[in-house]
Amino acid sequence: MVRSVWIIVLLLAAFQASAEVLAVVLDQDLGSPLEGVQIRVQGSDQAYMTDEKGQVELPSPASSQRVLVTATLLGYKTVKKILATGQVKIVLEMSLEGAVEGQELVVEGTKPQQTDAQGGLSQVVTSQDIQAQTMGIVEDAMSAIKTLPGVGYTGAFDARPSIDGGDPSETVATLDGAYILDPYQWSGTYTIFNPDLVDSIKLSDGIIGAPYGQVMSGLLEVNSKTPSDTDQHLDFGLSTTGLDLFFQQAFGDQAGVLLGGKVTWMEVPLALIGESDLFVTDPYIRNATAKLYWNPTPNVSWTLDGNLDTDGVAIGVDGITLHLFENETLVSSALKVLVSKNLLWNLMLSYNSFDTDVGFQAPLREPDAPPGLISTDSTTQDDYRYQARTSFDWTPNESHVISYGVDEMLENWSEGDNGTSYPGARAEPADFSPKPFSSNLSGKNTLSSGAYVDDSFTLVPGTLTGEGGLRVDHSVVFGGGELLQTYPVVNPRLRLTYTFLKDWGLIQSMDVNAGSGLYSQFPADNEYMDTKNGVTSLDLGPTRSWFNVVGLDVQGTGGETLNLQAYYKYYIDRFYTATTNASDPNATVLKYDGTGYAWGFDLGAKKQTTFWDFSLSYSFDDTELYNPGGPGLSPSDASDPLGAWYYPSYQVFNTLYADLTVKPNDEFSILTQATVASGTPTTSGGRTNWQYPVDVKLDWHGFYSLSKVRWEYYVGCEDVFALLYFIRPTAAASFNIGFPIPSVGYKLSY
Amino acid sequence: MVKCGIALVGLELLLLAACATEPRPSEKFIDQSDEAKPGLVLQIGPPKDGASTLRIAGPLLQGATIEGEARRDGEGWQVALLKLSWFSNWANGWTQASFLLDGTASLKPAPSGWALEIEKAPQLDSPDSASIRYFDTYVRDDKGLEEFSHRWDRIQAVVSDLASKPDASALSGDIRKLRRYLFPEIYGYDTPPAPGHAKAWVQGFAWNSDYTRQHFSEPLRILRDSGTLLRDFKESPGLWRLAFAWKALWGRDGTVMALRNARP
Repeated sequence: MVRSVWIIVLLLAAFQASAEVLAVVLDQDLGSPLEGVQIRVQGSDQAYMTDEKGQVELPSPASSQRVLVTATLLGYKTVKKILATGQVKIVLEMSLEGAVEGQELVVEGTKPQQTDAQGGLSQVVTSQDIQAQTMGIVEDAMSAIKTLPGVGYTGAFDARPSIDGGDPSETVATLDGAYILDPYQWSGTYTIFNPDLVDSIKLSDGIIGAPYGQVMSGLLEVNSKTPSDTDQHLDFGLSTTGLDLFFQQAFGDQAGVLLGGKVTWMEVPLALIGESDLFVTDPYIRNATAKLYWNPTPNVSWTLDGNLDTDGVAIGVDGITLHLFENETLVSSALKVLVSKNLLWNLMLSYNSFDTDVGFQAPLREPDAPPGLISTDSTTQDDYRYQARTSFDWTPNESHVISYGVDEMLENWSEGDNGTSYPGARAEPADFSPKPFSSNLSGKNTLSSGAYVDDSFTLVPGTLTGEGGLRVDHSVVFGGGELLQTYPVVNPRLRLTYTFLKDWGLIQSMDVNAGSGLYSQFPADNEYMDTKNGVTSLDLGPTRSWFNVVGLDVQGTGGETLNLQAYYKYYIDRFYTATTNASDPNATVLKYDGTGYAWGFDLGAKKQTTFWDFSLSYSFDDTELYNPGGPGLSPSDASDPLGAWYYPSYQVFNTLYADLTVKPNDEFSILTQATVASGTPTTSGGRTNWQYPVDVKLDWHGFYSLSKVRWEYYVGCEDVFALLYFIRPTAAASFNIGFPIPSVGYKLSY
Repeated sequence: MVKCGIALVGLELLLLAACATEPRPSEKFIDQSDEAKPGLVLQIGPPKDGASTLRIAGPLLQGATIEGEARRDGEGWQVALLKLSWFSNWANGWTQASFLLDGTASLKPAPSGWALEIEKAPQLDSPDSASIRYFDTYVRDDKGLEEFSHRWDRIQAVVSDLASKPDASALSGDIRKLRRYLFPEIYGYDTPPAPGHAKAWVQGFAWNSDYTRQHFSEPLRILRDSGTLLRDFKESPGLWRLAFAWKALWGRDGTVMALRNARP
């Protein structure tokens, strides 16, 4: 046995010694073999010559692992290539002398998802755009979305804008494809989308395709970073109030992991400004995220995402303590399988929970009350969502991608109200004994189902493209001995883009787009979704809107873009509440016959140069709603009248953003963002203040000498001229807090 | 089982020992400029099977390191230059690359110290591997090598083109002069451009295409007027310095460099 092994080893060694490598030399441009090419191998003085097939046999490198092979031919540029031990063939491509590779081969990172931006449908911001605009008390990727055309002004402390005149709740956010119950923190002040987590965000505010249900005015698709580099990467950020840390690593081409999170440390800046006692519980955010992907074969990709987000604050004012605490968990898993070369199967499963606790503690301040009595109230809400979506993307030919799929969303919602009250002097006789109260509203379960077919088509390549589809949605509410069904709704959608001009002077392309579609959304967490509140099964339907859009997109040869879009949206079956007795909270009825419309237009222009970037975004919107009400009904909310058209609170007529970034060199940039917003109309016909905040950010960045560690410092200030504003005393409200908000940041990235 | 455990512990100790530190060089030579801050440091490791490792580094190599092999040859050494490793960064990224070399030199005692004579000048035209970070994008492996090779080809083409200019030595020795020559629109003209000169607009910036035509040979003009050369310069300034330094250091066969022995 041992002898046989030795014979095999010797034979292998003999074979190795005499092994040869086939060298093939080709003309790089023509692909034809080159004869008479002189080949030299590092460490040997012998020259070899290719035959008429452009081939020659070379000795295999034996002593060292890698040697240099040099090919020379008169008139051609000398080519050198590495030959490794064990390699049996080497191909050398030669090009004519004097040819230098040009601009198209300059090292340049592609902007992720940039090509996803489509006229009449969506706009995309990349992580680079987000990082450039990020500043403020909490760094939020949403700040880059808020300045896009079609997005209404909200101010620095509201991350829930109106998209194309829609209610903020009509905009749905997804993280890596999974719908999120509530992506906001501090009750809507910021989002969970950390700039270091986000790779790109796509805002679809046009005719959103049939694959997406339960969305009416905007779809915010957030894509987290996917580790692609086998080296470990760390991103560390220290900002005005928070600390971020993210870690990424890919394991070969097949797997990777992203871990990270954020914690705020408001205690420090509050101490610095001498306001340590301002809050009972200092505002906090604690977010953690993990992402794992695995591509076991080139045809299969699997992703697992986990997010845990908590935030809260408690403030004491005049002895009264108000608190807000929120917790959210999102776990999602996506599987993509390329079943055949033209059929892709997608599966998405997710679990999402969101709970809030809002309440107060207040001392009883009645003249005869014994000291030390405290009234308390705490309202908790728990929401659970389970989601399953599956679809097939079929590409029968180059002109069509046909998608068909189903999605199911099960949501459970409940509310509890607990506390202690004192009848006090209102009782006869006065009663100062504590009266604990506790009520629990066992929420209903809502199962929303959808099925769709969608076709992304090309009618004339490069000229006429579009997307059309049909979607059916249906919801069932069950629990508490009741079963409420909506009538099924059919939502057809069609969008066309016609490129009518190409390569004309300074214009690279110009296209028009138009589309129309029906959308629906059912409020799964509405506490009044009950027969006792006047709801009738099968009479009930989701809120619907008919959305129409027309737009023009111009792309300049220098990368300039100009986008114009106009829209008209009509609402039917919109939900609202009314009351039969204003003093009785149990007398609320849920109505779903509200109507309304929104129309407007927006303009976006962008130009990037070596030394400056400029973007302009203007949005005009007019939204008016109508709640018919009925006999004996009164409005349950003073701002939403019955029987009269009114402007909703989120509506802003004019929003203008002008961003100028000056880049005197690669290390330094100055961003100036000027905003004008015309204020929100109120039901009384008045308006809130006009807003014209100017934000400034100075950024300085680079790499430490001879290292791969990137550093960045920034100093920002939001609303720098706030103290100079003319404050109108009659103004009903203001979006901002009335003084400049400075912020600083220091980041390290490896 | 016990033997197996001992073998594993031994293996671990061996690995730890290997990771500890680089072997102490047995010989060290520096150039004769400034002893405290030498421009070039040549280190030869302890011999093993008749050959010693060779490492050359120092500011004259613009941050690059040469690795090779040295064999005793009488009182001196016969040196093979086999690999160059290079790293450089800029405001928005970095580039790391290595080249395979095919050069030989001899290191011999000389009346004033030691002399490193280049017998076969190593050519920097075979990038072996490269990695690039551009903002948050990483390019590695074949793609990294391809993109780096194109950039290196372009830089070499410009460096060759500059060699024919009357003030070539001044340009190659002073990066500020070089950038003014290559991109006067940004870094300032030596003499003001003619009014009404032809312009090539790229990304909102006007390149003086008359200047390009006067100062650059045909294949390079499109590279300058498109902004490609500017990006090559801004994103890899160290690569330009390396290209010039390489020519000056090892440009031709027979180049002799005076060294002195600095005991490690």
